[in-house]
Amino acid sequence: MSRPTRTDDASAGLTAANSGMNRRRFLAGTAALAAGGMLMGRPLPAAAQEAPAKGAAARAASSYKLDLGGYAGPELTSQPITLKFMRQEFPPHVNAVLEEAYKEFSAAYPNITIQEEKVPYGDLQKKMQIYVGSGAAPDVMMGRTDFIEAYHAGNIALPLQDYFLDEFLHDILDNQFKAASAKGNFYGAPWETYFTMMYFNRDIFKKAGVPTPPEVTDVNAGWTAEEFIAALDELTQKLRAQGDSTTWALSAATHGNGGPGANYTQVESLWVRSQGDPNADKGSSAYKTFLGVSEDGLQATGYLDTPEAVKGMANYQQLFTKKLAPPTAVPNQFVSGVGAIHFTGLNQASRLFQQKPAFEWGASPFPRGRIAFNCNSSDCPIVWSKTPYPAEAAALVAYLCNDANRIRFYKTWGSMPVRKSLIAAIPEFGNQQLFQLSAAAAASGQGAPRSVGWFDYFNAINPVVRDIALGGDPESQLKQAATRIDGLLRKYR
Amino acid sequence: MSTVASAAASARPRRRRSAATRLFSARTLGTVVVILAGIVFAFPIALAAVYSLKATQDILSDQYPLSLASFIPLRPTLENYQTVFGPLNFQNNILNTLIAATGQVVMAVVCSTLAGYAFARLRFPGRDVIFSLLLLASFVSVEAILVPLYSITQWLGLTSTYVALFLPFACNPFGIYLMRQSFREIPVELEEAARLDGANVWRILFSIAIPNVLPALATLVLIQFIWAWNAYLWPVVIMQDPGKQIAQVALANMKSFPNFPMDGPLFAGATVITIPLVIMAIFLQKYYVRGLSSSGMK
Amino acid sequence: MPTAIRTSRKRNGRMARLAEVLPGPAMILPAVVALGIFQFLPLVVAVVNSFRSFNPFNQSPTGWVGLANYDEIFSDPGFQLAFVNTIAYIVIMLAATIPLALFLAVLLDQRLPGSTFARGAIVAALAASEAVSALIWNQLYDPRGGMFNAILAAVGLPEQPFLIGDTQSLLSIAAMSVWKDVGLPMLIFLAGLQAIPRELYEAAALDGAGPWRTFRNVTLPLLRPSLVVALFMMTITATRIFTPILILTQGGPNGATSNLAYYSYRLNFEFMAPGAASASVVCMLLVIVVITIAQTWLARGPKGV
Repeated sequence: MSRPTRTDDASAGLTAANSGMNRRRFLAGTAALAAGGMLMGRPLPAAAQEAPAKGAAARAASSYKLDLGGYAGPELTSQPITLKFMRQEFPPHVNAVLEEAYKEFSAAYPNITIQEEKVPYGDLQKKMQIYVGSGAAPDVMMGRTDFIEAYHAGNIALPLQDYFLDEFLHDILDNQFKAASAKGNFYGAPWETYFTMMYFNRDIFKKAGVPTPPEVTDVNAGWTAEEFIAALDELTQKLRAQGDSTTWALSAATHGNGGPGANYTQVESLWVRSQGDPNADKGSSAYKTFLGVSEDGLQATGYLDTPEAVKGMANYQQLFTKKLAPPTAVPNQFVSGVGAIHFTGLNQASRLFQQKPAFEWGASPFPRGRIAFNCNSSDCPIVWSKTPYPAEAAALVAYLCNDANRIRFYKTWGSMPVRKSLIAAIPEFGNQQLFQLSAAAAASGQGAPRSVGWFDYFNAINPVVRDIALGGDPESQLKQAATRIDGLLRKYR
Repeated sequence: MSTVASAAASARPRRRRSAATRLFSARTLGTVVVILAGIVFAFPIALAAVYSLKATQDILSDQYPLSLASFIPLRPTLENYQTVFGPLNFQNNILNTLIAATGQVVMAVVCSTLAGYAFARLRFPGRDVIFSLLLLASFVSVEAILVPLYSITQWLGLTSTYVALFLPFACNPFGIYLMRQSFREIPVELEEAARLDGANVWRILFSIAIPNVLPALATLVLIQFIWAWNAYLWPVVIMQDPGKQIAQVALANMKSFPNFPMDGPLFAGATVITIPLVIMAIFLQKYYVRGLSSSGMK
Repeated sequence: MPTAIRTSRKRNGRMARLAEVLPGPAMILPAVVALGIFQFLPLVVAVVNSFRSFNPFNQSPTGWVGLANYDEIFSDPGFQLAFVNTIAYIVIMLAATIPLALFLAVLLDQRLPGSTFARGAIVAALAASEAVSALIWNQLYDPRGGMFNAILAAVGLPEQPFLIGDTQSLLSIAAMSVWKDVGLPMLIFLAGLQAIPRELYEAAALDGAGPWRTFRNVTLPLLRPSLVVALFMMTITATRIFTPILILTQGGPNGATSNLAYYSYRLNFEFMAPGAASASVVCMLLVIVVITIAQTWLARGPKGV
């Protein structure tokens, strides 16, 4: 009956939360004992009755009518029910993969209807917010690991660890398991993870006669921020000298609305937090810069406006003051062949493989500061805390995250899988530089700063980054931003 | 094409030739200005239409640097339209938009005409106070009341219905205001005559008042249609059934995929949804263009 | 008609009196109910919410805080900027769209060749998807490689920053909005022009009045009711400018393009502060109410509006 928890997640924050899990384990144990006593050692058919207890159900894992992946909850209901799943819209060929999966699910469980709701990616959070506010939300919603603390504190998501096999939880990349957990509870099964890679257009570098970035598999073996800026500066000057006035050394960001300040989590925070150091003294500004926010997640002053952070933002600003990158949103420069370097996720690669653009390209790690740093964040389906069908909703999440569905999703969409066994099963992650580097970046990345108000933080810092790119003073801008964020985070105290 | 100029000329046959010349050159100038204005206003839309005839890859690479290729599809293709009407099933979204827009227009016309007439012509206690209060309601934007509006619609049990797409905005103060102003322009004598003949309020409204405000009604129809056509935030929030989702949200989806530009289908979709409104504007223009025979009030 | 006369004469006096008073309330009933539920109620909720505090996660009210939300936004420089910008947008939009719309309406009323094309184009701008229009305008405004700067360069003028310029960004957003929305007042004016009796123009022509005097003495005074509606409409439209800000500048640079609509949206949906968001909505309402009352008063005609 013992329900092992992951032992490798012994990070500081988890201790308090484990007490909650222990209590439940204890209750489950007593229940079993009592039942055992009453039945005088007979086998326990009733064990399955105890709500979402993994012990009995785990044994039954193979008895589900379908490969429910890591699911370890009770057998699904035989009553006719409808599960609602809100997610971002994907292109038709990716939708087709999911629709195929639902068909399979409904074939095995004809009483369970899956009703999808598809929302433009940028509106997901807003819609979740309105749903939660109205008290009625879809059973499963696509969330993000960045916001797990808020899902926990706001009692928005259902803890899922009791519904999953421990082998499954252990299989998730450690950093992503950590990112998907809060106070010892596991809230969302990350189904792909995002980290930033540096893609480059070999032809442009060749034309300018500038050496390309190192194509390595180690995240620590790439360019430093200084080397990066120097190389791009040289590239720009040589291109201009050749009369090329349209090619940019660094293409505009294509996240969100594009341009500087488009997505602090996934791009600009890398410049800042890579100037920090996780191994520095806990009281040092280097350590605080790395964290990005205080341990309790409620203060940015002293974390976002450190000398190290200012240095990171000053580096970032140089990209614009030296005219290495356009100061506005320009769509798709890299794939159009007018941007020498582009920062984006792994699925860009699958896109490039399919499209076969008119140029040669390669990949290198994101430029490192004091440390090599990447900010992983993962889309992860969460289960609405008040769903009437917690087991079925968890089973749907587990099913969508099973090996077959994840591999199909990877093959179609090309984003990074999150489970170690999957990564090991896909050959290119072991033998091709781009994918080896991706695997290293995925495994070594850090999540977004842990704050219950990361959404506020993120939304407050984006325009500041943009103003810095347009010439604002990094130090005073970051100081103001930190003060503003402190004010925004006050409501969570 | 018969012209105002010739009408004016016939109205004052004894004017000298120089005046006619002046008028003629004024007309030429006017024509030039009209066409220039048309080109300026059409340009951004025409650009979207041009893009819709290019492969996504070509749109991206033709944009920068600016060249002839930026404005002309050198390798025209219909593949975007095939995508939009094929795998993306955009026609379904257009149909949904059409249903929502029609519902909104019908309700807006009924509500605004009735209320506009009552506020313009009928006397009843509290009339002006109620009118001012109703106007106040138009000052608030949907972004500002999204959450309470959602709760109300949910409470009414309308979530994910077609009705929910348009009902909250079907009646709006602008329409009432427009119709009220238009009804007040009708000479009172027309209605007085009918009243003396014993016609009741409803008969006067339908047989005298409404026929005299058709241009305003046409404006109301067109503007309401455009608003319904362009609604985005509310449908995103209230519609949970992808099968009933409207075209603007489908368009937003096309530009939301990271590292997967769908600019071609996006511009094709944007072009397609502009066309019905332009056709509607042309269809309704008979109400805006005076026939030479008609002179003012009927 | 004769049938109607007979029926109405058959009615007794009380019924007739009732029939005289009832139609008014009956006619406004659908509008009052619909506006009451879907516009007024949320508005009242917004006003009430501006005095409350909220749970940032599920947005449920947690108590009354008096004027704390107002204190909070009033002390935020971002609010002050958004407030000033809101008024700037209204002034610029009215100053640009009303005369332009009037000019276009009078021009299109002349049945000149090309009118159908121009009217179609203006309506198409009004009808075009805001998000896609913003993408296109973003490209036109691009400081390097955009069409506007290409034109400026071609005629020998210096290139401009447009959306990223401290002072130009607001004007650039307004210019796009003028393009997008001028059709609205134009359609109102076109409808108003049809209500002007032709005879008045013929009389003016017989008096030997030129086009300007005819416009000044006949068209403009008789268009007053339309003008009032158009001003009202454009004030509201200008106050609500939102999508171009969201897509093109996100309120920047340094808050130069933010307005109250965008500011309150951010408070509500990005900063989980429904109370402060409601307070800024109330401020936004006050701005428009004051401006609209002023307009109505200024445009007041001899027989009221």
